[in-house]
Amino acid sequence: MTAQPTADDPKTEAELDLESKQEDVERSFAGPGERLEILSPDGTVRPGTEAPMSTEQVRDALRWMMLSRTVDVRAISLQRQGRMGTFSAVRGQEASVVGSSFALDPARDWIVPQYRELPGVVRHGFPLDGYLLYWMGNPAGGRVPDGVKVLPLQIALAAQLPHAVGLGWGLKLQGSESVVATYFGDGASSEGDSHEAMNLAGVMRAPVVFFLQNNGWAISTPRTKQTAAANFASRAEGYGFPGVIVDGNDLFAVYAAMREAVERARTGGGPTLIESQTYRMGAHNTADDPTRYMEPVELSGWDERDPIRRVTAWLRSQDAWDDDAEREMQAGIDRQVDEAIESAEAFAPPNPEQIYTHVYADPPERLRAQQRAALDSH
Amino acid sequence: MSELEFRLPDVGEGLDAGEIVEWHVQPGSTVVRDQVLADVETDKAVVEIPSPVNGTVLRLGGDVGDVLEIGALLVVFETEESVRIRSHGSTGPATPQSAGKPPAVGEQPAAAPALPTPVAVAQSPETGAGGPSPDAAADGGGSRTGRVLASPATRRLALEMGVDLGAVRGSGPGGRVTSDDVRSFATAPAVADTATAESAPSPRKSAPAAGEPRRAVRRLTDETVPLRGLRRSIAKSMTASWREIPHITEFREVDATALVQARATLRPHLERDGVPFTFLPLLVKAVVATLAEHPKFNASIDMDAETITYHGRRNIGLATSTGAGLMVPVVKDADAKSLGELAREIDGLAAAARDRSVTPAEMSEGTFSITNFGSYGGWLATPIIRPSEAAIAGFGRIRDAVVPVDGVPVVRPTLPLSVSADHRLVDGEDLGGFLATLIAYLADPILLLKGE
Repeated sequence: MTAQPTADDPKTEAELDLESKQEDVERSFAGPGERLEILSPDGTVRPGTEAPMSTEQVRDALRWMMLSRTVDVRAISLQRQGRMGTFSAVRGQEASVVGSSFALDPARDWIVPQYRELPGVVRHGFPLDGYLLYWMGNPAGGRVPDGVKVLPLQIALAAQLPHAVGLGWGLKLQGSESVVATYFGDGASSEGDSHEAMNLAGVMRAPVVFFLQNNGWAISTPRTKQTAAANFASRAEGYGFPGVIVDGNDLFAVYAAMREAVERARTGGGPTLIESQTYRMGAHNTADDPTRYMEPVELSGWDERDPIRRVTAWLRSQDAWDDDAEREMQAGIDRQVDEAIESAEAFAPPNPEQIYTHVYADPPERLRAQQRAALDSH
Repeated sequence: MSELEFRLPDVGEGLDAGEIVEWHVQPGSTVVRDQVLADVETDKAVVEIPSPVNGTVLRLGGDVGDVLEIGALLVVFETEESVRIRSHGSTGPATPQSAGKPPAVGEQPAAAPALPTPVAVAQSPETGAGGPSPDAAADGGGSRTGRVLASPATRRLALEMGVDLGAVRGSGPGGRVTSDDVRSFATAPAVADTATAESAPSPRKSAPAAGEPRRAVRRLTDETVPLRGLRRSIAKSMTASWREIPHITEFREVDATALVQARATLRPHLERDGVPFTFLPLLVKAVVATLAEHPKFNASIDMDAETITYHGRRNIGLATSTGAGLMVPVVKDADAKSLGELAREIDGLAAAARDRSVTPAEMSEGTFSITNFGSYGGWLATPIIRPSEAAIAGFGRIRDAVVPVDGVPVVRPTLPLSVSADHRLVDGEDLGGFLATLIAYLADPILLLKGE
């Protein structure tokens, strides 16, 4: 806190405290010039930059963003009715997830997700009803259809990163031109697996893009308590590959940065760390109450930077969007989500036996005995 | 149109209950899907509970301030829609569903294959109502025809305690049987069966409100229950002891290496016919040998008559946890019994205490008591003397500890013990002497062979 209340400055202590917290939030993100920014919050393209996507691509991206927001709302409602075990909403991070996934080719590139990348993995081919089924607690939802280049969702923090590097390295050894994009967060960056994975990827020049979504929160741990460093991207230097910061609520900046990183990986240039500075506009998941640790000012401040609003503003400025278009797109999304929920709920509930069926091809006797004991009716 | 019962779901991963903070609808309100019905506060957060259907509210399940258990009725709708809410077993009008149909694949990519087939998923047969009936889920149990919900650890516990899980009333979400339920059940029937002299009007477990606080649910009101049965007799006895007897207590730790070895050596010879050979017979032997050398600890004081009686017999009471409360059956003439005899008698008395078939005669004439707080992980304690006795020895759990041996730290199995004595009968120095002798026997049990 820099100022004390005086007669000329009649701010209350509470106001000063709030200002100081606001400053903390602002400080936790890089300023202009340090990060890639193209689409400003008012929907205009910043001077000296240009939109990296066609209007049609942007409309398509917007659809995925709106789909994501719609699923968030419906899934939280289902969870509150007891129809879904838990759910981690994407809200606030749509540009980050969708923009990055648009730089990937579902036919050859892989996504190694964490658990908050719904529109990215669904665009890549993971079925939406399967995704919902997963959060309903049915193991059938964890099964990735054959041919879909997405690894299963990973709840254990950072455990997916070594997998991504192994996958990327293996693809490189096979002479493939495929690229692996793996997603993690500011919290996961503090796990040992993050270091090991990025170090090995650098050494092996594995074609991996480490997409770090810095959404400000590791459940309730704020970004300012996650690292003493000014940002996460600077870690890349220590691993011997480039690190870039993008405005994660800026669809264009995320896409442009990801496109460059994917191209580098595809042409043998090795990994890239992208720090996407975004914001989790809400709870960590349905079992969390963010009002216990988030300041209202943070939520309201980031509402203004809503990534979806930015995209629709830009489309309007291109005469490619109006209220009718929005209604029509939303109606189609609602139908798609309704169908996915219906399909997921039509699945029979999981059977305890399934706990034992997906790890070993040939389960050891110890596990078989445990299974017999557990399935014994009494 | 038909009625749909909507029950309070577990909105926060493993909650027991929620308090109604505010209603946003009233009977007669027309609601649309996802419209907020009520704000409910759980242990984790205040959450909005939305409507699963379009319809009309017929009834509400409680008033503002009411605490509803998970699975309790929240709202009854009149609706044409149906919805399956598996987590609390409620459904609307049964609708045939194509169970096991693979989820439809999203729009892209064009060649994306479907989810695994039902074969790979090992679906269970889908019943129209899905899971336990709403009533069973709501009251947390009752007799069930289907599978009993319980964790593997609870199933193992039930197996070990010989409890039929199907007969246990589950207190967990959706009637899940918890380990506590199993333990309560295992000790309950005996309470209700033969009432012993000490426990005449015992509360039956089937009506927990009569004698025990309700558990698991956070409540805003206190609950007062009558003091009855075994609990009352324990309360009276302990109050008398604490009021009457000036206690002095000493604590020691003893290197149990030799004791552990002695038990291991004897065990294959003495463990037979399903009777375990625990440390307890050895502890009893050490105590009776010590009492032979310290008769002041095998005595009774009578303040009215102003006399001290030194007992000829050494009858050792064994504090036994029964689930319903503490009972102290007595091994008579323990000094005259072999280790094998002690093992069998202790096992028989403990079983009798736990199933409440132990007779008043089997619990009388004690001259000294042993309590084993190590059985529930205890280290040291301050045991309370049974009235008319002079002292009580308590033993903690044997655990590895670093001890100095010839000036070098080594790890040894260590037995902690506490002895409380009646200061009217003995002084601190006497207690120190008693403990020194007891510790000598425990540290080197071979000394028990030297005879008295």
